[in-house]
This record gives sequence, structure tokens and C-alpha cells, in this order.
Amino acid sequence: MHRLYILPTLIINLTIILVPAFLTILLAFYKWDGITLPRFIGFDNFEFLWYDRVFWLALKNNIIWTALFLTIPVAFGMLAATMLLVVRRGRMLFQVIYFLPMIIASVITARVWQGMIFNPVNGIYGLLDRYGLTLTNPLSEPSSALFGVATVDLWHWWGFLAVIFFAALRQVSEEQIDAARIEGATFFQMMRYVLLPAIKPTIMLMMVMTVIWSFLVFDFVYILTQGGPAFSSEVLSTMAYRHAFYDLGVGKAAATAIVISMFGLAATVFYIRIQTREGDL
Amino acid sequence: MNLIESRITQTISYVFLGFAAFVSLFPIALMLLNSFKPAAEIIQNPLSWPEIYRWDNFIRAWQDANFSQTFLNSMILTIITIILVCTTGSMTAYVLARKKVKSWRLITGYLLATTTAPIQLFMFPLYFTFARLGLINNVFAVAFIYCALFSPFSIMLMRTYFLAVPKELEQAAIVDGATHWQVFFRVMLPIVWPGILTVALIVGLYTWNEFLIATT
Amino acid sequence: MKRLVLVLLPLFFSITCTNKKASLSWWFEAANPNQRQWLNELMEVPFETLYPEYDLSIDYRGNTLDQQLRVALLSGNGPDIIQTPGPGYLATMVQAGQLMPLDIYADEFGWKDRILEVFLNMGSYDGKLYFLPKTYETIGLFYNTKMFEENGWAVPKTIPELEMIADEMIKMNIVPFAAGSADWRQASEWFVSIVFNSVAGPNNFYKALKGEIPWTSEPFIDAVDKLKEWWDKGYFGTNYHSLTIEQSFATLSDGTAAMAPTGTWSFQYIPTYFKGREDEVEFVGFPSAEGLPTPLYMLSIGSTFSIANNSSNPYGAARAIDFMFSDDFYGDINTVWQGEWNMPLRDLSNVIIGENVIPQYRSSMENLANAVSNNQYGYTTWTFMPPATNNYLHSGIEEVWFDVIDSGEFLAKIDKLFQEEKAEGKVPSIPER
Repeated sequence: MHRLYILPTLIINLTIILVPAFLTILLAFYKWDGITLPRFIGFDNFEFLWYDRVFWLALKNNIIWTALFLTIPVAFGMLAATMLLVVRRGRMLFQVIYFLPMIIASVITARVWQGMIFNPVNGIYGLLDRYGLTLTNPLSEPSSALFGVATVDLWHWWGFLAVIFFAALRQVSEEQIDAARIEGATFFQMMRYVLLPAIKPTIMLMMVMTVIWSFLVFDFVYILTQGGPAFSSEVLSTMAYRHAFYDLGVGKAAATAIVISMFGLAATVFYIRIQTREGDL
Repeated sequence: MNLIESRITQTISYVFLGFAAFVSLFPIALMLLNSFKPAAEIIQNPLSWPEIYRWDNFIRAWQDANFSQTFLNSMILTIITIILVCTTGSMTAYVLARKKVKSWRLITGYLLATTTAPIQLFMFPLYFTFARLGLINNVFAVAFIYCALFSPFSIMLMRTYFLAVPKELEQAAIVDGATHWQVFFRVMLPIVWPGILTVALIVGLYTWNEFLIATT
Repeated sequence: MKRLVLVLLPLFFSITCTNKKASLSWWFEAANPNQRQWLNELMEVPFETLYPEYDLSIDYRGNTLDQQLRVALLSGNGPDIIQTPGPGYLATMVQAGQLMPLDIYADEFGWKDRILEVFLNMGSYDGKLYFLPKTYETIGLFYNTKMFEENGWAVPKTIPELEMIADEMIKMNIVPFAAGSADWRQASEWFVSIVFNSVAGPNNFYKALKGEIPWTSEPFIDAVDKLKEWWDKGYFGTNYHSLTIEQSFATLSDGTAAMAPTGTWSFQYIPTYFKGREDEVEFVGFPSAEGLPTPLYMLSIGSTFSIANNSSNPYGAARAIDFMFSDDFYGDINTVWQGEWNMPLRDLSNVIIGENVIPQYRSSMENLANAVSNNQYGYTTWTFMPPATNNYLHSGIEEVWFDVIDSGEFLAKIDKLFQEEKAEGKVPSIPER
């Protein structure tokens, strides 16, 4: 009987996702410019990627990105969420403020950071320069471009985690807290032994999603640097996008898409294994 | 629920939260500041206080982008998507959380797997299919696409909220003679509604801001 | 009986109302509200007044027009009037049969007499005409006349002269080349085009495009090395990656920079930044190396017009395109929106441009038209190179600038990509010199 419950989701999902996904996987084995007819070439696209310097650079950048996003926003999000439990007044206000960066369209956020903050002539950096503190625009140097973009996205993203973690924390039962309180737990002990374990499913989920999304990251990189300068901030999806729409190499883009998915799938399998072991699944 | 802590901890918390709020707000404040300026002034010096307040920037933006019409369209699309995702998703999330179906592992895995694929590359086959069906500028068609795209994450999130509900409540209801639908509708949903609201908010946000699919 | 009437009534109305206009759809790229208004007043309304049987609708698709067209055309959708950002993809579109040959319209409307021949050649594949340019432009050198006067600098005609004054500027803490790529990273291809023409020479450029010499030949290595040299010396300033095109052009007006190697599309910024002192800015062709002709006008096509092969109203579409290639429209649209509507009319003498448009614009356009009709032109990478090659170019030159690779490796990769695309027939048409 419960099968009926999941039927709507599955129908919608299978028709819209599975068929195009299958076609995309198929395309990875073809040479196609997106305009004329595709031509079968077997594993050539993958071979091309293997020998492409830019591919490995992009992959490295995705891994760095994942590392950054698995640590910084999670830590800050958790910290803020827990503190929101402590303060009684202003909770709603803080949550709204933290969520605001997510609401603004990426293009606008990117332009604000690029033109009004990082800009060494007209932005905050320029202002600091006039007062004697010269900082280079991170987006203009190959060594720091990726981190510049990551800063913008971290600013945009961390509030989201804070709100999600807080929603989960609120569901923790009063009895558990009281019990720990009676045993004389300090704030940090409370966090470590009661709160964190209680919302472990949420944290685990967000970490898996972070991995998946880190390999999918596109918007801010594309808008701020398009992968430059000199490919230093290139990520797999910007590379794929370029292949598909600018270089007339849809097959290569499809092959890249498969690589992107592989990492996400690995994270998925990992997640399911852990959840099964802990009896949650 | 609250965490009762010493004054020191409270003060530190306020300070930290306040600083975080400042960081979150600062770029937004810059943006607001500049929305009052004429274009040339923005380019020349984004940090200055506006010389004159161009309130008409807002009016023009509204008119020029035909905001009322596009606003309405976005509104309709967002509402339809939210309804679709929350209804179909909550049912699925419940089933997955309580393992009511034998293949829950497979389905969970499949749903997560679908989130791993980049949508820019979906464009070609997706557009192709929809064009053949004549559904290109159809609001419902787009809503269905969004539903398919946003459901997996929403379902997984709602699932965690369902997981947090104590099993005893369900069992008590069954003992009292509730059907499976009543258990879902009258017992589970009222408890997890804040979670569903959060999900609705997130989905609404994504739909509203979504650009790539909407324009193609 | 009542039911019959109810059924027949709408039928009756629909029959009488079938005297509808034929609809023409045109997908445009991005345009701000002012520009949309100009297009409405100068194109849609007059066209529909002149030809009341058509209903022309311009659909503003934004910066992703290219991708949207690609996807739409693939499934048989898309507009009647196809506008693309450049000839790069057209070769492939012709191969796929997405574009309609325009020769019959060219004959009927007399395009061969009104339009510069070289563009009719560029728009032809396999002997048939497939596109017309919306605008053609060139890259040259803008410079601040006041600063040149104050410092006694002569307008450079050769590269050594250019470098001499540039070195002086560096010593005075003035940026020689105002340039910025923050909002258009592809700006780097302008400078590659410049050195390919001014240092390697248009003849070599032509030969390489035809596949007669490889891109790794010595003239090109010299050209890229020269560009790297300029970068290392600091000619491009320190904020190249941080400034937008408009912001960098503005530095020409406030004393920060003295020259700007950019294209005629920058004329649209002069009214804002040189307001009241328009005589302080002048535009000339870029200096050339010894032994090369000067001035050299590098040819670029800004956007193209084609008609969809499955259009239901090709004649109407051709009429619309023809409407734009008229003296009246040229004069009107260039009065308000300079730099983007330089249709390649053969004879500009009868065009009336509004008085508030600076004279430099008009004279530059006329010089360009003359040079082109005398075959005195150079090439630009984005107009004449195939897509993947040109796309690598943007990032590749940055790699050279940042010492990731050297000019030899850069050109080797360009050559490899070019030969591949050439073999697949993706290279745009190169008219004979």
C-alpha cells in the first residue's frame, strides 16, 4: 500500500531525469558539435580528458573546493546554530539575516563582490589601498583566483547550513538536555555529547550533499572568472560547459559530466553504507 | 527549546552572532546603497554615498522588466512547484524514513544519484523532448521539471525530520486503529510541519532564482 | 439550434479574423531598456507601418542567446531571423542545414550593389550566401589628445614609436594601454589579434587561416613574444583583470591612462566619459611593425543575421533584414546607439547621422569602409578562426602572460586545434585577398 506513496515522485523523476541522463551518458561515446549529427567514437572522449592538462587542474580545484566546503561552513553553521539556541531574543532576525545571502541571485552577488569589494580601484580593496593597506584582487591572480571565488560562495552558503542545523537542533527533546544539565554538562560538553549526536543524520546528509554539490559547482566560478585567469579557477562543470556550448564538443562535455557524477555517486554509496550500518536506513 | 547558559556564554554568543550578521549584511548593504545611484556613478565609485537619491531607478526597473507580468509568472511557477514537491516529496520521505517499502535502499540511492548530475548538460535532451511534445513555454511543464530536480534533496531533508519523530507515537496510533493514511496525515505531518515549511521555503527560493531552465 | 449557433459563431469569427498579420520572430541578445525603446521606435514601428502585413516581434534573450539558439534549432524551433554573436558557428549551422540560402533575396533586393563585397564573400559557403553582418568593426588605438599634447608625444605609426612613448608613460606612472577584462574575459583576444596583424602581418595571418602555413611559424612566435613583452613591461597596468571594459575606458578620460587599444564598439562610452570635451579623444589605426602597411584596419564582424531554414515567412524576414540595410535606418540608429549597428553599406555618403554624434565616429566609419573596399584590411581571431581554437586563445594567452606556458607551446596548441577544426569544415569563410 505504501508503494502508492512513492509513485508520484518516481514517475516525475524517471521521465524527467532518467531519460535525459541516459541520453547524456550515451553522448559521452560520441563526437557531437550540438548542431550536426553525432558520430560514434568509443572511448576517445575519455582518452582526451585523461591527457588534458586542464581536466586534471579542474579536478584538483573541485577537490580543494570540497575540502573547503566540508569544513568552514559546516563549522560556522554548527556554531551559529548552537548559539542561536543560547540566545533567546532575536532568533528570527538572525536567521533571516543569515539566510539573506542565499536569496539574492548569484549574478548580483558576484557583481557586488567583484565590482564593489574586490575591485582594487573602486571597491573596498581600493579604499584600503588609499589608506595604505594594499591587497591584490584575489580574482586577478592565478594563485588565489579559486579562493577568491570560494570566499564569495562561502559567504553565500554558510547561512543556509546554519538555518538547516538550527531547524534540526530545535527538534532535540527537552528531556535529553535536562538530563545532561542535571549531570552538570558545560556548553561544549553539551554540544559534543548531546546536540551533535542528536542531529547526526542532518549533519551527515549535508556533508554528503556538500560533496555532491562541490563537484557540481558552477555559478560563481562562471560569473566571476569563467575559470580564469589562465584556467586557475577552472572546475569540471565550467570546463564541461565550455566544451558543450563554445567548443562544439558535446561528447567531451558528456564525458566530463560522467566524471562529475562518479564522485557524487561515490559519496552517495558511502552515505548509504554508513546509514545502513547505523540502523538509520 | 532553549539552552540555558551563563551570562558569559550568552554574551559571547551575541557577539559572534552579531559579527556573523554584519558579514552577511555588508555586501547586501553595498548593493542597496548603489541601487539608488545612476549607472555612471556606480561604475566610478561604488562606495560613495549617492549624490541624489534616484528612487526612480526602482520604478524604471519595475516597468522596464515588465515586472508585474514576470512577477506573476514567477509567483505562479513557484507556488505550483512548492505544492508539487511538498506533496509528492513528503509522502516519499515518510516511506523512506520508516522503511515501508522493501526497496528503500535502492530508491534512496537512486534519488541521491540523480542529484549528482550537472543540469547544464541535461538541456539538450530535455529541451529536445519537450519541444517535440510542444511543451516549451508551458508553466506546468517547467514546474514538473523543477519538481524532478528539487525533489531528491527535499525528500532527503524531509526524511531526516521524519526520522526524528519517535516511533512510539506511530505505534500508539496504530494500536488505536488508525489506517496508514491517517497515521501519515494526522500523526506524522503535524509534527514535521516546521521541517516541511523549511523545505517549501528552500524550494520556493530555488525556483524563484532559477534561470537556466526558465530561459530556455 | 442554439447549440449550432454557439459552435458556428466562434468559427465565423475565426474565419473573418484570419486576415491576421504574418508574424516574424527575431531573437535578439541583451539590450537595456533605452536600447529596446530605440529598436522599437526605429525598427518595429516603421517596418510594420511600411509593410502592414507583418507583425515583427523582437524577443530579448539576454547573454545566453547563443546557447538558446543552439538548443532550439536542434529541435526545429527558433526564430525566423537568426542573430548570432559572430561567424564562428555559422559554418557548422550551414552544414546542419539550419540556415536558408539568401541568394534570391540578395538578387531581388540588390544587396550586391549596396553592400561591401568582402562581406558578401564572408557570408558565403559553397558559393551560396548565408548571412549578413549586423555590424562590422575594427580595432585600433584610442588616445587622449590632451595628454599627448601636454607631453609632446606624436601619434605612433610604427611599433618602435609606440614602444618609445609607452616606455615614457610607464616612467611617469601613466598606464599606456587602458584595458580591462573583468566582465568580458575574451577581451584578451583583441590583443592577440592586434599583434597577429601588426607584428606578424595580415598576409601571414591570411596564409595561416587558409592552412598554407602553420600557426607555429616564426612571425606568430614573434607576435606572441611581443605581446608577452608588453605585458611584462607593465603596459597593461596592474588592474587588467579587475576592471570592466567600461571602467578601463574611463581611465582614458581621467589621466590614469593615455591610450586604449580597443575596438570601435568603445565609441558608445565617449558620450559619458568625455562629455563636453569630445575633442580630447581620437581614434587611429594601430601601429604596425616595420615593413607592414599602415594604417591597418582589422576586420571584425559583430553579429550576424540569417534566416532559419524552416521559417514560415522567409520573405518577410528578408524584408526586415533589408530594411536595416538602408541609409535611413543606419543614420537613425547610429545617432543614438553607436558602435553596434555599422551595417556594411557600400556608400555612406548619403547617411545623415545626428549632430550630437562626435565627428570622430563618422570619419572612423568612413575610413574603415574605404579601407575595406580597397582590400586594405586585417583579420580578427573571433571572426575568422573556428570556435574551439578561438576559445582556447582567450585562456591560452593568459597562460602565456602568467608564465604557465611559453609562446611556442601556446601556438602549438592553437595549430593543433585549428587543423582539427579545419578538417571538419568548421572554419569560417576567408575571402581572397
